[in-house]
Amino acid sequence: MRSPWVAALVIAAGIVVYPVTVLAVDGPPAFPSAHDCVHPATSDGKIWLVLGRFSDMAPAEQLAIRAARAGFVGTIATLDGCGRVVVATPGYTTLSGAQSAVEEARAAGFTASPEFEP
Amino acid sequence: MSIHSLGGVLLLDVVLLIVGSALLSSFGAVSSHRDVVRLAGLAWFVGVAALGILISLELMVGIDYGPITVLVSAGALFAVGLVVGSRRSAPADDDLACGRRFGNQLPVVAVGVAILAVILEAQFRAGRLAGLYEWDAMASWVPKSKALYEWGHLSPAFLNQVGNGWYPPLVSVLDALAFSAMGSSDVVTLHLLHWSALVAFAAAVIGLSSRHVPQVMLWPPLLALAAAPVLTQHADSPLADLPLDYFLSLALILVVLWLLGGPPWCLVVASVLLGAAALTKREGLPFVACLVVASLVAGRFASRRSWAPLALMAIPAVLLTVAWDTWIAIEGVRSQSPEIGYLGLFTHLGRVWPSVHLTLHVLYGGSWWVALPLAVVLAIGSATVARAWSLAALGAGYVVLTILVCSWATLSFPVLPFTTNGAVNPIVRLSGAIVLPAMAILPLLLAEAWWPRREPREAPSSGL
Repeated sequence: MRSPWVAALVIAAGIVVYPVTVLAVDGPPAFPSAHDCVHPATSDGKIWLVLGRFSDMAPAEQLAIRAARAGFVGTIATLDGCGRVVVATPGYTTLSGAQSAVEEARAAGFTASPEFEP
Repeated sequence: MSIHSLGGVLLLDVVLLIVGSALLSSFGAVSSHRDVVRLAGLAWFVGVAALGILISLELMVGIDYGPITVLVSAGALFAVGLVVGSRRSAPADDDLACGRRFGNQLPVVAVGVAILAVILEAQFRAGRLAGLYEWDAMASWVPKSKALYEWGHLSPAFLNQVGNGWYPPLVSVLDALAFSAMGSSDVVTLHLLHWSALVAFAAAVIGLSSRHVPQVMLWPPLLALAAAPVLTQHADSPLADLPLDYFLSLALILVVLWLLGGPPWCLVVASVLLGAAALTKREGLPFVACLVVASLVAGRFASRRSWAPLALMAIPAVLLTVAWDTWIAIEGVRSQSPEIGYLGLFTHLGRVWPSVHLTLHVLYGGSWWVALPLAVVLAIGSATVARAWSLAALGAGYVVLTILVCSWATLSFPVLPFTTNGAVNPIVRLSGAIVLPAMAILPLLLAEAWWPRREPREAPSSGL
């Protein structure tokens, strides 16, 4: 291997072989987004009523306090695992019960959606 | 997690490289663009060490962490490096590399780089979406980094709440720098900063050693180390153990080069790295002491018998430890001395041998390091046979002393059981401070023993 070109080819092969193999087997790389932590409820199960998601803790805590005062007992503000703070009322086990709660939330002035708890 | 965060880590890497290169220039380590490229890995660590030490000191004197502090600190270090470096007229004055001729080494280099690339790419893939599962990372290092990033300071009340809050702050500062560069406390992408450290470490070992050893002696040990189970499991983790090991390893290589006749900047850079090691973990200072004592012993056999420069090398580490200890004492941060006290060895003699045995078991009795510790012993033995006394003494002294320090960690806390379970005894992670530095100097040790230099030396080169 006297030619630098051959050496360069060997190095290039080493650099390329792993990503090409991974792409061939697993497909293109995934870049998870904040949306990956949103799992709308479609059936009965462990469901919580999500009232909002925020970048900062302060507005999330304010909404949680407002929701608790409006009667949504047990509302929490917690990290959702995707870099945002989620405000939600946990404790629902049926989809119909959670959808009724959505209507009650709307009547109280909140925007709500039932999601599966992580 | 996102492209934005990946770009932030890359940006921080570039900043650390620029700051480190400027400082290396001021030390007289680089005199050409080729030197800058060759020593880029070392420059990254010098950048981490200098910026980490400076921001840690700023925190201790009450200057809050924040974007402005980071920019001013990095800018000041860069400016000092640039100004002092530009006033240096003399090129780097090492001529070690001229002592040996190695012939055509391109095949070994090409294959070595190709294999290393695969290992590092696999490590990148593992780290890109890694969760924060290491207890020390989630309970201590990362909360401290988040506190710095969110609040700008380390409040004593907070440090008394988190695990090992009294441990030195350099790694937390480094992680906070990553958060600042990413624009969020993205603890997932944070793993890639530690992947960058692995890449920089490999580059630094290659850059420092490649001109002094035949490539066939450099690449196999390096690749074996990069593929060692402890490294592949922890290289991406936001812990302080491997950064400590990297600092120690590079400092040890620089000491070897100085003992073999290298330029004075070797010890200057080593002292900066050892200072950073002392600010990385509580165990940093004892390991620094091991390195310095082993160097002094080796110095007795080297052509350079001056002990003063080697002893002075420890001063930044001692001063920085005193500064941090003073700060936590003044601020009322609870610290923890060994459970059995510093003289408790004599009242716990029953724990001595089990502690030493546990350390030896991690090195030679399991699959954590595979055969690397055995290779170290064989290399030291072969150097002794070849009468390369200085490096044999350095290697043996460092390994024996660090085995004792690691054993002391288990011995001094009776609450730690004699087990390799990382959840209750950190001995496996600690053992990196024995193996990584020893493996890092292994190529130099073998070359000194089995690849004699040509005498007299020929035309001097411009750099290390």
